[in-house]
Amino acid sequence: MSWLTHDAIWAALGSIFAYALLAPLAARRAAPAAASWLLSAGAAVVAGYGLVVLAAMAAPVVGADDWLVDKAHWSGRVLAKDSPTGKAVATFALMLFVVLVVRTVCRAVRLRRALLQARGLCDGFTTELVVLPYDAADAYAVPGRPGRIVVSRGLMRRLSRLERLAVLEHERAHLRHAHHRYTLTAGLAATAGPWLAAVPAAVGLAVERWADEDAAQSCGRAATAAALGRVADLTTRTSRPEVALSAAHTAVATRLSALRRERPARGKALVVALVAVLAVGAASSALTADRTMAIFRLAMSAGSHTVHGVACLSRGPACAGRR
Amino acid sequence: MVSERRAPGELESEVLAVLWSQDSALTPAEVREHLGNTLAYTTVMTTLSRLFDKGIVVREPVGRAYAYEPALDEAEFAAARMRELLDSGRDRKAVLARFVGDLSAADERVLTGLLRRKRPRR
Repeated sequence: MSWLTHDAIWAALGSIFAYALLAPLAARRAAPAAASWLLSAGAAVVAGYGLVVLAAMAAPVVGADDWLVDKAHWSGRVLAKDSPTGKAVATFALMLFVVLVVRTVCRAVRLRRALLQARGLCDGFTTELVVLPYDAADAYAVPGRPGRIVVSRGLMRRLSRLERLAVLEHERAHLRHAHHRYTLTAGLAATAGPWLAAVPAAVGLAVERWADEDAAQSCGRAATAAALGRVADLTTRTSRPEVALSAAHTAVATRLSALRRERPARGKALVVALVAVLAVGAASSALTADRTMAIFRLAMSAGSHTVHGVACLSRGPACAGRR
Repeated sequence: MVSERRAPGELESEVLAVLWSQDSALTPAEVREHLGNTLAYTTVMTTLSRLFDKGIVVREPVGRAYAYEPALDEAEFAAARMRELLDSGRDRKAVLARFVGDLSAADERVLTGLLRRKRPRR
């Protein structure tokens, strides 16, 4: 039944591809909170599908290796026969699997360290707001317990009172909802699955829109849009000394047009489509994993029969016929 | 729209933001004015004293009141600590959420277009 393995693998690959395509759309059109949650959790899950597919492609050929056949007593012949791919593809899949897992673990360790450092930094400040004596316009939220809002003097000088409040409320929203969890999850998922490269930017946009909506609740949509436009204007005009690689690449124009609408978009159809894609991916990955396990079980029983058969032959005719 | 009942921490932030937005020291009355006269005088005064106790602002007597302004060396110390975090690599920066992230070249073009159209109305 190896045709089933192929079908399930193709379905899993298809759902991964569909998810990667839908994610940026959902970030722009769906309700921000739902999109943030769905896209980041979805990314982690879809990265998992990719690893399952790679493992399914690599495992039977790896298992058919002579050393493993000797140690595990399973039938290398069965594994080689029922493998969904040839030796070349399987070897490539194995290498990719190992590289991706190692990369992800290393990045997770580094991100955890960064978060702890950020938390320590936050603990060193005694106020929610920290103003830095720079003239370049800047504002960001640092996660911690509690998190802090960091802005530059240049920004405070150039904004009106309501615009300052909008920026503060926006950053407060980031801290209140722990948005870093969403963006970092998406970032890690993209490390484990490079085909998800567009997702961290999508999740970044979704959380920014979420914070924009919260700020609009306090200050009104017009004031928030004005603040955003003003800050973006100042940012393009004043030069940035450092080249920051922020995980959240914000599409300011998208955010502005979202704020210009009377109400945030719902995008229910997109949410449903995403859930459907994730469900298809889950089912096909489960099938793929199950089929791979079945191949190994078959190989194990074939292998033990062979071993027993050989032992039997050496002991003589009295052993034959017994299972 | 803006709630008067704000948490003390949030009040501190807004008062501090006002102080940094001006070039000179401000009395509690002036700070209250800058905040749109929506807060009680005593609230503003209490908030300013709290900030002073934390060493975030400095003050000098002006008549019967004090005039407050941000403590620059505190700010520079904070800046140094932030630099440490930001300069230590990409993962550190990934942890922050910038209000306006890096703009791609395409973003900047669209944005400049949008903003140019808005400006005559201001």
